[in-house]
Amino acid sequence: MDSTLVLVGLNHKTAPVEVREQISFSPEQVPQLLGTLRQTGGLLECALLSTCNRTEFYAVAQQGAAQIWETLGSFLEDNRQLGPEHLSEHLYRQEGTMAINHLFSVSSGLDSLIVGENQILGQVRRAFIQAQEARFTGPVLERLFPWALRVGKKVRSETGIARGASSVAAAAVNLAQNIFGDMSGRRVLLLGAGKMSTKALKLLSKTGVSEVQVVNRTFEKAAELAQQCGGVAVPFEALDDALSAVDILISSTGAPHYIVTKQRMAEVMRRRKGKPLFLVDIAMPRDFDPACGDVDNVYLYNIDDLQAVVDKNLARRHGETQAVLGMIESATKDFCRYLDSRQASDAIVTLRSSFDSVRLSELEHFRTKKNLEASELALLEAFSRRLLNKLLHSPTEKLRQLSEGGASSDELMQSLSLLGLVTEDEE
Amino acid sequence: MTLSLLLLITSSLGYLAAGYGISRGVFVEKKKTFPAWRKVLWIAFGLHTLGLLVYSVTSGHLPVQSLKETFAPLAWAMMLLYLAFAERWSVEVTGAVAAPATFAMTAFSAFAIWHDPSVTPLGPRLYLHILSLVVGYASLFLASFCALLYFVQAKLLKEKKLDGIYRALPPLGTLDKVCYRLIWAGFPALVVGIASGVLIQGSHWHWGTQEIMVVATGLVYTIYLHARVAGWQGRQLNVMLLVASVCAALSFLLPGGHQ
Repeated sequence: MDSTLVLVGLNHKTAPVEVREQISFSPEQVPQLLGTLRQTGGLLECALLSTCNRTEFYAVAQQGAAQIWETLGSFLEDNRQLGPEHLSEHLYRQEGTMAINHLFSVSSGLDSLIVGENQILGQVRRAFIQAQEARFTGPVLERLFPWALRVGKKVRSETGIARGASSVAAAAVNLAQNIFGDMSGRRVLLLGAGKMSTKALKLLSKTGVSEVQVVNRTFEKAAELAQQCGGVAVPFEALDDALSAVDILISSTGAPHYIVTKQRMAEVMRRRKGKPLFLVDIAMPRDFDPACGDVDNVYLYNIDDLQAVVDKNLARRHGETQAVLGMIESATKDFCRYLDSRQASDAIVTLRSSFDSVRLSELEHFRTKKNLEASELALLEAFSRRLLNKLLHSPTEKLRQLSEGGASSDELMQSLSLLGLVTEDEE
Repeated sequence: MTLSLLLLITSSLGYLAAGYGISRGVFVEKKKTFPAWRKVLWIAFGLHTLGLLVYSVTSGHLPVQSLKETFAPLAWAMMLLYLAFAERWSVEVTGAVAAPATFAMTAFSAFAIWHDPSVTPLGPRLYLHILSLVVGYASLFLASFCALLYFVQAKLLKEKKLDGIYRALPPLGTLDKVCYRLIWAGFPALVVGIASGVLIQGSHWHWGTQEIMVVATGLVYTIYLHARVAGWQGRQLNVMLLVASVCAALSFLLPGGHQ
């Protein structure tokens, strides 16, 4: 009997956070959940993709889609003690091509809250590995998930869907890389201790910056933050010295006025011998006089500048949607073609093995009854194999054509059975 | 002679095509086309090399006897440096300037020789002077292309115009580093070229426009290197390189005793 691929799930577009948090499963919970689902029976294969924005079951079973949806829906309700009336309005249910297309959209980042984000690729991979570990994958999911991962990577490399920073902190780090190139050996100064600056520092530390200095009006606070980020606390009075020594400054103090004026900055740049300085002023109100940006070799960006970069990047990513949809469409067709060819191959294998068993029994008859020599038997073996290939060539091709024309595995087997080419047992 | 000029003209067309391709790659943000254009540049460079060899064999002298001839080996040396280092140092984008410049020099040289093939043979003692300057100038011109890109990229970063060619241009730090390396590579050759020129002229030395420009070029590069070694960096140093390359170009183009 044919198997059906179905998808049941919800995401940030269909369910508010209050519902999503009830249906969300942590990575530690997933293996146990898949194990329970496996014991429940009815499903041949199943994977669970659970992230903060989506919970999706991809399942394969030898029953109608409606039945599988019901099984999974009630499973969710049982596990999270939710009433069906509460869940059903948020769940989406898809089968076959639509389910495949959806997974490819997910792995491409097209269905993500931030279009093109990369984290989802890792999450799809994890869902697949967990399903494998739960021994809940089979011929369909074993091909579908790696296929989806390939589509996700291809889309990211061939379109601009993942290009450009998608957060203010990442935009600041990208700009730093475009100013300095090689980030190793670069020094960073944190002026103040805002949440955003620590986030940017976290990203910067991944690029290989060598030293972090922290300046705050209260030295104790600076020392505390410096300890957290593995940096060095510097007294507020030594700010000019620190500015002369670092390459990147992230400023987020609560000062009610400018801390650094243009004149002070010009003096600092003289001491720096013109070495480029990247200033990220995310304080509100701003810490640096905007005129500081006019000083040669100073690159001053405030929160609005960085947000504008992010907005442009996201708009550009959205602009790639059509190209990505085209690639997903084509990948979905390829995968469906693969599934069809797999159905044809089942029928072909059955047909050939049926004929081969007849051939082998006849060979055995000649070997035992006709007292043939080894060389004669080898000749007969080769002849029978060749004859079988010739005879089955045309039916094999026909099966392939029928499969490509949309015939299901069951229909192919039925046509073989009608012609008496296979017995019911073999079917 | 005709074969060598044909080879030079064909190679210059290859440079022109690659220059167009790389520039297009910069403006439409398609860096993926760069490897294909690099192959075109290698083919053009091969033809260029062959052209210079055939010319040297058929004319019986190296193509450095006159200004019109010297443009061809200068363009050759510049392209050799570009092909050798641009990819490794992540400044392939420089090809958008270097390839058209190489095209202009090679094509000018070929057409000038075609139009007037006569040359006054020079003694071999001038070879050291001319070849050193060719190597030095090739390196310095390539550095000035990087400086030009630095200037553009710094302006875009200042004005926060982070679209279009900004995305294709290398980081300021990379361009600055490449400029510095190229100047170091070209400076000794430039010094040898100027010093040998002074020695050869000896008592006939006079302050013609070419001589003034060559000395100015050497001086500006010396100041650049001194400032760089002393720890100075930034936009002004790159402006200095642009000024020096203008002096170098003028020393080549202005009329003077060398003509």
